Amino acid sequence: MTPTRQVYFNITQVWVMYLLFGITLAVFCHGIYRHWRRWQIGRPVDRFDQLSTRLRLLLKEGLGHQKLLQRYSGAGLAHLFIFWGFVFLFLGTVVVFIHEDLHIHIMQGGFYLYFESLTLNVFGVLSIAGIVTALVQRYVRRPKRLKPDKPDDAIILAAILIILVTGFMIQGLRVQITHDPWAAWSPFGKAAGMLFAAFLSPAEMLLLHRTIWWFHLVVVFSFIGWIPYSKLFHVFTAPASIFTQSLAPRGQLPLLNLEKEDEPLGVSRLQNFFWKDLLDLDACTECGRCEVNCPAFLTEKPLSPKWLILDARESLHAQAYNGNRNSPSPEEPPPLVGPLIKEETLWSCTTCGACMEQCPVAIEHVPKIVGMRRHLVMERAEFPGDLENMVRSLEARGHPYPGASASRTDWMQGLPVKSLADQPNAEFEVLFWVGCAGALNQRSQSVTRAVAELLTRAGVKFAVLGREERCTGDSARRIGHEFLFQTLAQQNIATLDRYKVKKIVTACPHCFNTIKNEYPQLGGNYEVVHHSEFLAELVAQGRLKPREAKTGKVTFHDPCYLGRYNQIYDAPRNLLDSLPGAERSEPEWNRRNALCCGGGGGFSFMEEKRGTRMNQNRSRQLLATGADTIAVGCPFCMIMLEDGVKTAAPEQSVQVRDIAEVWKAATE
Amino acid sequence: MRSVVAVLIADHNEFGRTEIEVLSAGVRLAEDLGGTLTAVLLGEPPASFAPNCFSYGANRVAVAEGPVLSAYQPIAFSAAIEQVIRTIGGDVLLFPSTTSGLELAPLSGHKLGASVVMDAVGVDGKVDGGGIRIHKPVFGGKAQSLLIARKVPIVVALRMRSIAPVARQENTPGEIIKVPVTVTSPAGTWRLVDRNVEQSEGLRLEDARIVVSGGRGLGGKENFACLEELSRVLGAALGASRAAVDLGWVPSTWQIGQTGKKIAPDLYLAVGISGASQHMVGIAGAKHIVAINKDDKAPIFQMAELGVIEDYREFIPKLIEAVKKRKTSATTL
Amino acid sequence: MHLVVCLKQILDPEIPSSDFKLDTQARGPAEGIASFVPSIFDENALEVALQVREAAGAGKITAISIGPDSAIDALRKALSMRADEAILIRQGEFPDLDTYGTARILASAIRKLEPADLILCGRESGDWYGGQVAAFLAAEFNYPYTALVAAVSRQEREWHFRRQSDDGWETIACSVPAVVSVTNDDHNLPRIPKVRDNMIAFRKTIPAWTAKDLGLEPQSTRGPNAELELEKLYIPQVSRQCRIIAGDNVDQKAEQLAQQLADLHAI
Repeated sequence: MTPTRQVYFNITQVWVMYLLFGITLAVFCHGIYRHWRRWQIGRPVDRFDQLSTRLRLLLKEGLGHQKLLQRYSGAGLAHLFIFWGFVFLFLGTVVVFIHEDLHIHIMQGGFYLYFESLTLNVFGVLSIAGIVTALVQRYVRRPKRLKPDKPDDAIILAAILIILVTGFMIQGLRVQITHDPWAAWSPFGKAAGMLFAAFLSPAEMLLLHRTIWWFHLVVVFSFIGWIPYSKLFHVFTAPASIFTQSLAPRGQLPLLNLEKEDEPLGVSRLQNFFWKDLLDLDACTECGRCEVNCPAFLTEKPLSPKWLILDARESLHAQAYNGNRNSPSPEEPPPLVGPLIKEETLWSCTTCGACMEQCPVAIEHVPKIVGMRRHLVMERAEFPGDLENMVRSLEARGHPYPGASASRTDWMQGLPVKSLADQPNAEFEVLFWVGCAGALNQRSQSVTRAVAELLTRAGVKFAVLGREERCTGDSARRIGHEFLFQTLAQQNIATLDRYKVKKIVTACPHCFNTIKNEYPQLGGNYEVVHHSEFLAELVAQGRLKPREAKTGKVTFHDPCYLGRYNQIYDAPRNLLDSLPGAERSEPEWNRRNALCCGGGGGFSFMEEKRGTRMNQNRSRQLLATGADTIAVGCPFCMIMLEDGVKTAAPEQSVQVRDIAEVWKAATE
Repeated sequence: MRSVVAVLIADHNEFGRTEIEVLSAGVRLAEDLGGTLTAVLLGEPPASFAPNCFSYGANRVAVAEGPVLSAYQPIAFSAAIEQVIRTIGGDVLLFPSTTSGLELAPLSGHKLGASVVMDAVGVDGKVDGGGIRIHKPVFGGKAQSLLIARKVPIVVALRMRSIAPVARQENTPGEIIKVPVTVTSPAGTWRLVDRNVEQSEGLRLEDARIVVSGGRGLGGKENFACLEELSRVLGAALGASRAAVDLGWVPSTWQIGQTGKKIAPDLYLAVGISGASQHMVGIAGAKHIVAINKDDKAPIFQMAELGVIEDYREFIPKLIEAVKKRKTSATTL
Repeated sequence: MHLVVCLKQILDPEIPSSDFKLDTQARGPAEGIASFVPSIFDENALEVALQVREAAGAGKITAISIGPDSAIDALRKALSMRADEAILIRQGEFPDLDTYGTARILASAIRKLEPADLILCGRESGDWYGGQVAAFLAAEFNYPYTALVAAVSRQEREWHFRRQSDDGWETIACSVPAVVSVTNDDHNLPRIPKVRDNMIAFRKTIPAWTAKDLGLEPQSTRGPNAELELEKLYIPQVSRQCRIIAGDNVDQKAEQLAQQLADLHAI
């Protein structure tokens, strides 16, 4: 006998099932349609290029649950089981459909035994384990990131559990009643059946089987119909969001075309977002991973990346297509910024990108925040007072430090370094981009000098722009002043091209990121390296020789714009490890999980007005490593952590040094 | 060129430092020119004004009298000054840079067709070929200019707290004349509606002998507390640089500099202030400047007399202790 | 209501001292390092005018500047802050321009516009610190003059000016029309223009008037101040040698300083 089973055993009036399915499908499709119409409010953007890359990402991040397993992996594993259970059980149902409705009899023989029976059983049980874990997580362990609990959450978990458990019940009852010869291939179903058989007569089991079968069907169909109307929708929107995520370099914000007269400057209403931004609002499963990694949220500032997304989603669902069947009118959406999303929320973001790094469904939080900042700054000219001074200084003087009494060439005193303006025909291997902090901030000038001395020592022919350097515009762009950014960038690109610069090394990750990833948007293409990479390369080439030194206990703090945004984690570590005598330890949250020092997004130029200090928060984590030296690779991190360490541990003598300074001091 | 005139407005003020400075500048200039100094008083001055003018070197006091001088009014007063000068003569007119001085100097200068120089920090008459030299800082204090004026009349407004006072002489006689002013009120009305004297707790910045001042280096609003303690111990007034005011750490009434107050204390302690020229302009008249800053390259160390290169957080508490110790030991003597 | 604001474009005064240099003949600052900006107090004056118009709900603001062609930038900034019109008067046409001449030229330009209810200037320019043009303008028009004004409000048929006095503040009631010079204050910091207004301002044409347009003979604008001779312009070499207090530790240095202060009779 060929292994198989009778579909619809003990079930009559099967046509009712088809009828109910038809209704379910209609409800489901209508829900999808409503979402579709809403997403169409957004602006066009091409997210269907590079299909093979997108497919690869979908497999890795979607099916592979990469981000879910990298952090809070217990929860990630549970979801993996639930997810794969669903996938297989769904495939199992499709097999039944093909076998029964299309009359292609595949559900038999080895395939029936190995796949339809055993595999589904195993994954069904794993799925149940996953759901139970999820229930324990949400209602017993209660991590903060899952707050608040909504009735929906309980209903969804309960429904899935009911579906799975009743599925096994049905299977168990059937194999018992029919004395199924291949019951052993469905061990868990068989066990369930044996439990029933112990208490019920065959007639009772028949009735129970039929009853549970229809109950199971109703729950499943309700579930399916409910998908587009609840959090369950992530089943579709999550893979869609992952597939259509931005493939631009991470540190690159979208370019605003300032030539077009009627183009809105930034986001004030939902229709100013890209359609993908609206799609990813619907992908959010409220997991809260973004929130508990956000440096602002962790210091009690009025920003929760999760709530930002959910508030925007609420606005999306509230307007346009609110119940009536008429098409949504794009004029309707009320303003987002102000009524729903407060200015203080937007000004609490350091643009560190931790939210986007942790999000398993590829929601793009930072471009949304910057988009709204653009509206505030460029359309309304409303921004925090401190930033006004920064902007005025950038406009008048090309640097963001109002009241700076140093000149951009002060750091060169005593060093054999000259600006290109003074020696325009000099030949050079690389341009050392100093940056505004490196030139004008007293503490950072030591770093600049250290880098210059190391380059000289290694025999590198480098040039500097001196007074011709203007701010790269990173801070302007991050606070939403796209106009000022483009002005500054164009000036710099003209200068760089005039001197035919090909390769640039810089000690500031913000300059690094902007010149490397954002200048190409305006026609400036250069090879850009961070000083940690460049120096590590020099060490590897033997042009810089480490010496035995008492570097001691050291730890490295990953700058957001070097690590998360540009995936450079190893070069600075290698540079430190190349020093004999260096004992390097890692802080609790490191690499892609590193906690921001609080210096980005304009925060280096304004006071934190609410909550506790972000720099102190991170300083405590770094101090906990027990290191005597905290090595940094960014002037903002330097300033923030020096202050943070001094406040958090004034009696200890922990030093904050740039990696170049550490290296230079160790090899004098 | 021989007649130097110091134009003094009596308007709710006592004879004080402002008047002394203008007269002192006038006395020295008159000496250089071999001429005389006349003090012209407007606005119903109290009786003590005239003798005080003589004590500080005026040869003659001319008191302007007329109905239009009962209440201060820029156009009317400048017309009055013109009439007085045309009556009694005057080659070089010196005004203080008080609010009324800033109005009357150019207005009367225009009426008299004079060369007008505002915001001068000194005048002298040691010019070959006749004339006076006016010392005037420009470009936010980054440069100094010397202007020569040879054609009379000349109007100069002197920056407050920039002239060293001459010694007061007692029992100095002098001639007092009354000059009737017949100009009438000009077209248009102008009147004082309300006056608000700035309440400052304790010492006014402009009057304090010692000033302790904080800048960007302080790092935050709460850090001004240790400066407050220091100022209490020294009996000083508190000030700040523009950076600290812009960052919202202290009220704007504390601001010293180009766009703030200009002061000339005997002792100025600058804590965490880099020394940008816009700030230094505000203390150009300070006698002794002490700078406390952890950045040894801060420009202020080129302008201060004494410097301490330390982090104020560690240094100021120790300084407070050291000063307190001295004060208690002094009182126990 | 018509408000006229007089602007001057100057070399940025906030460049660090170490970058400030005089030109080769030492008659003025060297260009090249600093950018051109509107004079600080002039921007405060424009902000005051904008606030007056906002309070009144309507009104016209005209910005005028005498300068080289590059002064167009200062005028464009005024337009992006929402001044209604801007006019440039070509400085090159008037040799030997002194403060008397400046006032005369501004006055003849303002007479060509619709009657002004208030003329606002900065209290002094951020480069040469003349501090006279506003008063001279008042004299040209025979209007009341008030200096050091920080805020203006319209009360029926009068202007009310809040202005700095020697020991605090005064409120002055003045008839219309009038001239004021404006000083800086917490409440009149020049607003940052909206980028959209910036873009609109960029496309506006700004007329440039010549001596002929004003009906003036270039030589007639020379006044008594042109007789002043610039004997010397120099960057003062600071002669003060700063004595850095030495010591092994903070306590020692504090002791030393306290001693020095005692010697100076400060304590």
